Amino acid sequence: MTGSTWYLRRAVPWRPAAGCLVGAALLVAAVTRWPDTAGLFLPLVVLLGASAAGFVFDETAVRVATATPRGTRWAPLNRLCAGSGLVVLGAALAVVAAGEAGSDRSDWAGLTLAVGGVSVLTALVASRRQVPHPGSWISSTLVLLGLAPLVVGLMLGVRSPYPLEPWTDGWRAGWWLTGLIAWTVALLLVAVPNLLPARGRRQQASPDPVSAPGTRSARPPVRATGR
Amino acid sequence: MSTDPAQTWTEVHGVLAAYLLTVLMNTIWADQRGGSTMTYDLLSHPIIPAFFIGLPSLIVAARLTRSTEVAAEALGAAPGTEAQRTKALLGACVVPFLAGVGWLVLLLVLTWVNPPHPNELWFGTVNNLYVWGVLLSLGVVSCLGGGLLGVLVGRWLHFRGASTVALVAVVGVCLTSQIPGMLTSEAAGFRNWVPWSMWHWGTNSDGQPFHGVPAWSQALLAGNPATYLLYLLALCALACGGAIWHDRTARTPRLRMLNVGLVVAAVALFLVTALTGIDGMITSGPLQ
Repeated sequence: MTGSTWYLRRAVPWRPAAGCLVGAALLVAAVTRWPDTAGLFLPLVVLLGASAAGFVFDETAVRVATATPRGTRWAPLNRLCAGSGLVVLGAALAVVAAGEAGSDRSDWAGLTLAVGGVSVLTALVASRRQVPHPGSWISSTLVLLGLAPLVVGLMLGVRSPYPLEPWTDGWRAGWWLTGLIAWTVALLLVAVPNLLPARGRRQQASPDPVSAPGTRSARPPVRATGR
Repeated sequence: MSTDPAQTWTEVHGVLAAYLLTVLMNTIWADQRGGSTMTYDLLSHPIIPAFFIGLPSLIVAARLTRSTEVAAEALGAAPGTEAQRTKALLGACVVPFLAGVGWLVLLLVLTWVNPPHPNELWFGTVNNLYVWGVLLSLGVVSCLGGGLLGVLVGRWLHFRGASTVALVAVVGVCLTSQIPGMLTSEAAGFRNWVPWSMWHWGTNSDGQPFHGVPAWSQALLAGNPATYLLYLLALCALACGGAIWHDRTARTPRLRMLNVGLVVAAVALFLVTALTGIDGMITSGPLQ
């Protein structure tokens, strides 16, 4: 077993990530059984597939982990690889669902890769900001934001950003570009950690009058956030 | 309702989005038909607060409930019990409820300024009780219910991503009441078991009849919207009872009786909703 596999098995919360993919798989089954539901369930498959990747940067001891020798580049790179694997699995599920609904498979795959890239990038930035468990917040916000265009479209009759009806070249190019930018920026942030230094380090560098030697800090050492 | 910046962001922006969308839809985005600007499908509008206020409230309330348990050890030494903390969180759900009330007031003001089409299914063309039932249950109570469901989820589901699961489940369940075949079937009244049931069939603006609704017309579907409002309130009360029930020390015979009574009331109200009120559907005149 390589070091990376050993690390990822213990560091990444696989249960919620797998839960998202299982949920997506159930929706694929629902689309297969009831094709009428494709209008809502196909976007949900994409959103859940992308949400799964949002959990890969969850780390309870994020402040400690980033200070370790492997915490700045090696660990995030491995987590990024795990995230890309999850997004590819999500894209595979979206392709299966799109095939069942008679929709364009490559467009749904591209959309999942793009939204997954945004999800991973958000998780990475949150991790750099020392948020211990961004995955839960990212997944719920992503699902909510992803469904919003469907509701607005329903009321206003505007075009859905999803390839439920064939994409124009502009839409296709826009989504592929979004994905390309998201994954490139994520890779850059991992390869060059100084592009976005951890927020905790900046605080340490600046003098904090409240935490001056001999005084007790009024701020809690770790932000108490929900899971 | 919340102190976490991310949660506040979700909540405040959801309310702003709902209000802004409603204003735009009833003013500059309103349809131009017959030479004048008119608002259509008003009884479909409650989906806006339900989505932009109710569902974010679910997420925020679930996260807020879980976050109070991060310091459970310290709180255990405090005078308050888990049931008291749950009641405080349930009380905080008055915020999305008031946001929903604000949305309804906004909609009524906008329709007063810019009256709808004479054939629109609205006050005057349909039993006022039904119109109030749809607006209050789908628009206002759904905002309250989202928050209460969030507290329930936060108390009982402890895994990461629980709020996402609840969100997807609620949306999926509500969809089952909106399948066209179900909406117009003989047993259409029984679709109203879901927490957000589709009551209003939007105008067939493509000029084609669909599932018995004539061209350029809209419909109010089978069931009793007035008792549906009571059914949803019973579900809200059940969410409160279920959330408090999580605290073992609060499981008194009185709370048990209350929860059992609420279940019986909810079932009875659902049956009344399904079997009384609108038989088949009420269709409007043409809105062209």
